[in-house]
Amino acid sequence: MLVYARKKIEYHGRSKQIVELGIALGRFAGPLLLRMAPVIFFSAILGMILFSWIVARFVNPHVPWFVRDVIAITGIILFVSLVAITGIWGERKISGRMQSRLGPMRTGGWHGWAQSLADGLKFIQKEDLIPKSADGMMFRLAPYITLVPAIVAFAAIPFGVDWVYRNLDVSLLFVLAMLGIEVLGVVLAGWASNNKWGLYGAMREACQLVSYEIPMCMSLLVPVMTVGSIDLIDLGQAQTGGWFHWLIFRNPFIFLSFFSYYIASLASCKRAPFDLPEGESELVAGFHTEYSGFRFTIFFFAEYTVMFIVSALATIIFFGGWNSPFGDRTGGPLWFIAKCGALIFVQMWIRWTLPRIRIDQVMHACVKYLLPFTMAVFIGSSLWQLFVSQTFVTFALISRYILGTFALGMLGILMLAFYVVWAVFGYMNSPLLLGRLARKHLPGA
Amino acid sequence: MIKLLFFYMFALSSVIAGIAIIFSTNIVRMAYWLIGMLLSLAGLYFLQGSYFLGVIQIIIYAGGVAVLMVFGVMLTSQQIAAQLRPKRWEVLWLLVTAIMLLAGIVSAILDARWSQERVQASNNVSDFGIHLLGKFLGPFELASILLIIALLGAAYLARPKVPTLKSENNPK
Repeated sequence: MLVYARKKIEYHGRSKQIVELGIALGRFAGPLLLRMAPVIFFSAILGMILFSWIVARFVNPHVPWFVRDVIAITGIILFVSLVAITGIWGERKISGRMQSRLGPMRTGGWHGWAQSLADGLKFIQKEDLIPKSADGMMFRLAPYITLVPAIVAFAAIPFGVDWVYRNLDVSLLFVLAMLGIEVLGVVLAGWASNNKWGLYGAMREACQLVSYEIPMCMSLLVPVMTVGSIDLIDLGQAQTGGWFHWLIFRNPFIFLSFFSYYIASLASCKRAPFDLPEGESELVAGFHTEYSGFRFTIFFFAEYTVMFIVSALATIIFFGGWNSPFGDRTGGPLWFIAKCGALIFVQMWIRWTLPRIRIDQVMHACVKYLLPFTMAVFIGSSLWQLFVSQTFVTFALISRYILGTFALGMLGILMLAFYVVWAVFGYMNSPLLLGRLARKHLPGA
Repeated sequence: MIKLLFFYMFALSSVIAGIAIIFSTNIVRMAYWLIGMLLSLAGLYFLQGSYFLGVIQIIIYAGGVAVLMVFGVMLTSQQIAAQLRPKRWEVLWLLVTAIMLLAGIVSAILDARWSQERVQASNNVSDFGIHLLGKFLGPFELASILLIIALLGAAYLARPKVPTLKSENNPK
């Protein structure tokens, strides 16, 4: 029998204690946390409110600014690592669930909660390979250009009214600019590794970025136009109250623009169905084919960080940011993170549901459908602004008069025009349609 | 003190990157040095407190132009990347042009009357918008017309040379 028993790893001394502690912790704390989740969530919200009050009252005035900066930056880096680690583990568990398998189960005891940590340790220990024909300096530089802007973007993302590192008045543009730089690192990685697959991945990434940045920014303009500010804190503050005060329910065009933003954001953070830069089925691993060990980990970190940033923008701008959905005063970072987590879950859900589309389909979807749709939403939202505004009464009066008097007639004219256009189109293209049908379906063709 | 330190850091890095653009022969490295220079210029803007200008600089140059440039440049892979070495006569007339340009800029700087008073437009984004659509509407519209012309030109250059749609659809 050629069956090998798995060699059991023997731990000794201090490391044995640590491993046993980890397993015991995972075994008891995991299910307990899951069961007590709502209680923990709300008590943590109360604790955070108390914490921020104490910090603002007693700690902040007595601590010099550089100490505060160091603490805040360390906190941001820790948070980014936490997001990446839990994101990777969560992605593996969710994908397992959606494909009727278990996902990681062993490491750490309870549902493989320590799998990402173990992977990280493994990646750090791995050999650091650089291809001989690669552009060495650029190859080493690329992972940092990818990760650092993603972390810097957190400087302007508010987790709550007081929970922001730097209160810029152009914070939305700042975050978008950082996302733009992040892509340069990916392009550089693909180019510098001097590998056909890498180059193809990088080209696709550049292609996607250039085309999807336009509908992304344009759909973000719609809520920005409604509120009249590009400060993320102002945007969040404009939505205090219950869930019905969220911008996504403010007017129908913002509701539509959320979906175009979400699709474009999927493309901008290279998630399926737009994960062509790393399409495993065609390009071995796309832009990070040649990367191994810790450099590869950095790309992974950057991907999950960008997922969080994109979801954070969606949360702040469309879903009320840190405000509680029930309209109470418990708004804070935890609500924000919970909403972002829900959006990240949707991203994973889409990834494990939809197949990857081709690059020409990606381009067509953007230029032919998403961009005109976003522009129509943009114009519609501007007209809506005029319609409900108190200052431009004439427009509202005239449009109300026209809508009220001629609504049915205009609908009829529209339908007639639609019919005429369709009929003319069909008449002009009739040989084409007939030809295709005849070739495919008629016998003897 | 720290502000001065950061100013020298950004200024030095932008100068170094600018020199490196000229002296590097690899076209992609050039592109990335250019991005480095533009980013450090954006850092200078941030240092002066005009966040809007800095962020717009990053979005437009580093985000858009550079990606487009890299995208165009990347079609030449690394082995066959054009090693850019100017010929002797090119150096000559480039030198003449550069000296003339430098003389023009220096004389303009020397002649300019530097006003120390603040311009009324504050750093506020809404002020930018109001001024763009109010006082400076003419230049703004001219710039947009220029952009549209560039867009149309690009579309004209990139169009398929022979229309193949008709012949494809004809059944045999």
